[in-house]
Amino acid sequence: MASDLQIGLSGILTAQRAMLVASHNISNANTKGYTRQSSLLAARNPMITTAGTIGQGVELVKIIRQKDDYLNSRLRDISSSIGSASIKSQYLRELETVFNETSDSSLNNALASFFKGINDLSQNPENMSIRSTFLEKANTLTDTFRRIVNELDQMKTFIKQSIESKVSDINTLTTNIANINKQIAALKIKGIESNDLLDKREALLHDLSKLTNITVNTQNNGMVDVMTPGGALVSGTSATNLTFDIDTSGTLSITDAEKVSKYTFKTGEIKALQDFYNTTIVNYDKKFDNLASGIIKDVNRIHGEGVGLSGGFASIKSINSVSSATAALNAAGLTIAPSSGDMYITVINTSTGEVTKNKISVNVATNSLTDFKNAINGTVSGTAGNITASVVDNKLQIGATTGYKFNFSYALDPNPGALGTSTASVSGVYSGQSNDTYTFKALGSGTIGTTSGLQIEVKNSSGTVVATLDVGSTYTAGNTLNVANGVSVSFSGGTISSGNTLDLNVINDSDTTNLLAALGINSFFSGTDASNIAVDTNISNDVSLIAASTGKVGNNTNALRLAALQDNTGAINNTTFADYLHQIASSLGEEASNAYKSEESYTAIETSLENRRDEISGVSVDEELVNLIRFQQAYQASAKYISIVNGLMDRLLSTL
Amino acid sequence: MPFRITQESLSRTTLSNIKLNYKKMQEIQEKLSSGKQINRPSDDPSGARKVLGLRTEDLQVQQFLDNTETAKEQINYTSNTLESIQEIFTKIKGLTIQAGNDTLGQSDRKIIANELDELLESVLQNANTDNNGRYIFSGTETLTSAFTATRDSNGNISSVSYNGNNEEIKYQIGPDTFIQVNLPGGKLFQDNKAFSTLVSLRDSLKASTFDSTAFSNLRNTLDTATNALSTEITRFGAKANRLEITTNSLENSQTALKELISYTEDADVASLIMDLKHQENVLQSSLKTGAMVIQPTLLDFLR
Repeated sequence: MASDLQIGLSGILTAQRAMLVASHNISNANTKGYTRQSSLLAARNPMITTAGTIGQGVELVKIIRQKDDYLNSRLRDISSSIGSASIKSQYLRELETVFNETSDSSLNNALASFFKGINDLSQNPENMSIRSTFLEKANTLTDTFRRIVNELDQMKTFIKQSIESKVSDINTLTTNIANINKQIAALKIKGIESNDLLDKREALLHDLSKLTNITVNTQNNGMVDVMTPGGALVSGTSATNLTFDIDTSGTLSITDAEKVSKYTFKTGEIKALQDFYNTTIVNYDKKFDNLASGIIKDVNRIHGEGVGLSGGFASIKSINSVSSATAALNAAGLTIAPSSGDMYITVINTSTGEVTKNKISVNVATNSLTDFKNAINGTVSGTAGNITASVVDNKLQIGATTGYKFNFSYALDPNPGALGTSTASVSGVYSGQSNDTYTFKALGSGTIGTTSGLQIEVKNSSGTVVATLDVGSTYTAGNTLNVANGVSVSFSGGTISSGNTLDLNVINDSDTTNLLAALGINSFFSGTDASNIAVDTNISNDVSLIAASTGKVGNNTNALRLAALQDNTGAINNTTFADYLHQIASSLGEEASNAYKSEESYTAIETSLENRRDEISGVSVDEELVNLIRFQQAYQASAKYISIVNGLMDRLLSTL
Repeated sequence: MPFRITQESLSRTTLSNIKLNYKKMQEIQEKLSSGKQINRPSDDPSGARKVLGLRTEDLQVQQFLDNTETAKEQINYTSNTLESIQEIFTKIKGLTIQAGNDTLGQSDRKIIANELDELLESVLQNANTDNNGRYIFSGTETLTSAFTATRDSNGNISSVSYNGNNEEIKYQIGPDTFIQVNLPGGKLFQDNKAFSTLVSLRDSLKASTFDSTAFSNLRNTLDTATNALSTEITRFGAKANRLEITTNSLENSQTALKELISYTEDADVASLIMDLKHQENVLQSSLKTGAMVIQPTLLDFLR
């Protein structure tokens, strides 16, 4: 009879425990990372009789954690990927806002309005208010460049802070995991499965995997080791503390606390932040630097050869210094590389207006700044002696004697000399492709404007006849004759004899060395890249210095050249400045749109994986309620059985 | 293990679908409220690049249009001045014909000489015309008056010298297309001896003995100058025509560009509203089914 009661008791106890398990499940139905538990019931060891075995009731053998390790590890992987993708799309969205290329305050608009300013200037080169407007437009362009670079820098700082806090999150998580490892192992030794601790650890691992991708290895003692491609984060009960380090080149890496070994991650939020810091921002920074330095170079190259309203300088100092005044110019640390060629310096007598053109040849591989200075002094002193160059603080300084001014214009020499006794006067703008020399040669002898059939032949340096001018009886001395390529000439009265020659340098580039731009002489922009581009202080202090002209106040030849930069399809990376900018904008857009898409698709995968995990590990309240009712009925039945056994006992006792 | 659906996964699926619906609706609403299909490059990277390129082109066409307008203004101004000068020359020609008449006495010629002197002054005045502070016949020496007269003791013009140069001023009115908007007075007036001939005509009329041969030679030279003037007036008229045609073609390409930009960038409102309505329906039904699916559990039916 006693064993009968035992069977009833086992039924009651087991049903009670199974109900506990079910209600634990119900109460944790909304607990994140909770794994459903189920009771495994089995028949107790039977009593052996001669008739066979008689059952001894039921017992709760095990509380099973319904989990799928594979799904958990997949979920961790996908969580790392979502970590990367969401960081990427979040910051790319921010970057898009910074560039703002489709809006009105964009760099695109600033660039277009800069060129509009040049166009307006070309129509009114002598108008001071238009010059000031153009200066403002140039300032807007440089401000926009610097604003973008500044915002990129701020973004970097913010990302660094974010990495700092996320690394400390990793450290907290790994320490907790190591602690839980210890508790689990302690229980495991006693043969106890610590289900809820396992859940807790699983949730921590999941959080950790969002930060960086991890591999989890379970040991026999119940502990887990957390591995990354860089090394172990948790091994048994010890956790590695991480920190970050920025090296001299500005690359940010994750290291152990001693900053000895580097941890490289494959995915996860930290990896994405690191990539953004080390690559994405740096790349965009570089692209803007390219654009800014391209604009600085091209604008300065043209501007340097032009002339402001005053028509020339009394003195000028370069704004870029060389590393050494005695080093060859191509190895003197100049941002814009100079090349071997010629530079023309025009010296003007301010009272007579007489113009002297001086050609200075430079070999950048052998000549230093000092050599260049000496060449200027040698050449110019030799012919006119009215300008002096000197090197101060590794910068070139040129000054004119009183009564003279100078410039670097490619305007034609108006008074190249005389043919026979007839003085030639030149006008026009040379429109040829490259610098050349026109040689005027008298074909016959006679008096200009009188001798019938008198002609002058003009040949270029390769010996091709470019024009034959009639200066005989049909010509009036002093009238203008067209030569070629925009060059016109007039001859004063006088006589020429057959064979007389006169050379005229026709130039469209008065500085084939690019030294004006390299040294920063008569430059429009100062600076070398997007972070320091600015309008040169000389120009912003005096807008009359803006070189729209090649000589006279109303001349707009140089402004037209500057305006043509807008359409130069070889300006940068085989395209125009504007198109290069559009490329940056669209490649950023492409990158951002890909990031949004991958974030969306990873999230969809995660949802489906979580659903699959729930199929196995999730709590269905309905199911648990059914279990509760089942075990409640089992309890009631066992109680009924005990009461029946009790009745039997009573009966028996009363019979006795 | 049977296929289990838990409350958690039901609400997760419902929630994520509702979120997705809201996101789509937000996208549609952004397009509708801004009127633009592309609000940032990532909305359509290749479309964005196209729009940026088209906008730059549009700005440039606008620039050319502005340049053309300024050029027109300058050319009309010069053209009008040239016409005024031509009128004066016509008057002068009339006077010289009158003066060439042998029946005139010296006093008559002097009267004509005085009249001619006044006309010479007004030719000089016209040749020194400035347009908003810029002397139109000075070449690129635009801030210097084109001609300076040297006067004798009586204040009469004895000779006129040119202060400008022969440089052209060009405006860009299209890709690689320029138009010269100025007319250096040196070529027009000095090369054709306009002023010196007028001075000589006046002086020969004033002279005590009238040299009719020399006078008629001077009249021929004057005709050359007048012809040169007419040629320039015709050329400027042709330029004004060319600018008119340029304006038309620039305006046409601007219209085409704007249409293309609008086509690429602007939102198709009708289809967006259809999308929005559709999305609203989807959202309504997902909310409704969500409410139905999440609520009941077995508890509702247990007592």
